[in-house]
Amino acid sequence: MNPHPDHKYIEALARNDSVLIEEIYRQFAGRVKQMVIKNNGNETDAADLFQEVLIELHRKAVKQQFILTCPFEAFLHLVCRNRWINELHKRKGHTVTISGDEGFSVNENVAENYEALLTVEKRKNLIEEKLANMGEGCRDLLSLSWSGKPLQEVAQILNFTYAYVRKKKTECMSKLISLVKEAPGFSALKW
Amino acid sequence: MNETELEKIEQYLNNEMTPEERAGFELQIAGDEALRNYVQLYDTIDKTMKVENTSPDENELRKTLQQMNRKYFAEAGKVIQGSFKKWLAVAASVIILVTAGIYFLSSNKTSPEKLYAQFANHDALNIQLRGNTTDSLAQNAAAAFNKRSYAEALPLLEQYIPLQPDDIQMKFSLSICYLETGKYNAADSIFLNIASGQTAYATTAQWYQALSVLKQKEITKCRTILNSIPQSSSFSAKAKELLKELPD
Repeated sequence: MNPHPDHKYIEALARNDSVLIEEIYRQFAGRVKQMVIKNNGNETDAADLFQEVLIELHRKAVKQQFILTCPFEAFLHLVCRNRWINELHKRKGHTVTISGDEGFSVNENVAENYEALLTVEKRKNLIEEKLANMGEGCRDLLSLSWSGKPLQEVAQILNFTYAYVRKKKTECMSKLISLVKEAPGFSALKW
Repeated sequence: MNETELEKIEQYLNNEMTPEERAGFELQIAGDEALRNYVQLYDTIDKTMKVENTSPDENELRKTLQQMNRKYFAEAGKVIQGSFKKWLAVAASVIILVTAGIYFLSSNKTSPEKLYAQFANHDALNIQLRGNTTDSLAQNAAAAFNKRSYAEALPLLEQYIPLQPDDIQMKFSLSICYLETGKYNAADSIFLNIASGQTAYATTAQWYQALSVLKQKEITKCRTILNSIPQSSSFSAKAKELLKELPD
């Protein structure tokens, strides 16, 4: 799909372009601030929320080549709004509804962009769920191999030979892959 | 997938094949859709789960955003509302002073508190369920930890550790709770213990030793620890960055 002209904002966040980033603040920070303050938050909450969402978009842009195909304002509003709902939920311990959506139509396109943003989290949840069902040996080995350490070091930590750890890792991955593939939600996550 | 194919996939994704082997495998992938999808899935799972360190770019962006936050979210903006010219002039000079002040503060060395806030980004605690009675304790502890309620997570972790003494990840999280709640002695002794051990958390613990003394405003000690972080550590870049920013 073709990027929306507003994709420039995503690119600006990826390369830390302060001129365009300032434009994001100038144009969109006010609405987010209003939304938070209207819904049990203060100015600091709004600032934190806005910053964390922009950081998240930076990560998606850099690591997952996220392409925005809808207007930035509606998209940003939806991301901030849902994050704020989650935050309120955590603080209050029960579900909340929120006001201040006037003037934002969440059309299919915006929702689709938001879903794309969530895909990685959903994949991660599914993998973790399946990992929890595996034996302790595989769980430890895979977690260590994902901790950023080279496999040689993992072998040392577990007191195995390198060759064994390698073989074991591929076996565990193969098991994990079959579990993940069998999950009902698998194909929706477009691996 | 059979054993040989799995082994090849792992070698391929880790860049451990000779150019000839690589070319051969790529040819094989090109002609075999099932294999191609499998490699893709293998790679996606690996990449999704790899714990990534915060990139230097992200820290740079954070600085930009913090400046913007001060400008667009500060209460100071309200001064402009006066209607008299005199007040406008006063307001303008206040803004200039504030802006100059912010510029002055941000361009100079930052305080230890701010540096700590900037550099202490704790990884989320992703627990692994063990299918026994400690699970719910671990889940509650992780939930509190991940919403940064360290005082709430602390007693839960203290209960958990004696039940699972080998769980280094939880022990590490406990020491972060000690650090965040100002119980430095307890925090430092765990960090020291883990840093001198052989687990996956050793290098992280060394970095946290530096963060802990930074929070305690012991700049000289902090500098010494940072300087002792080896080039090979995944925290080496962060350590250098923090060294640059430490007040004299």
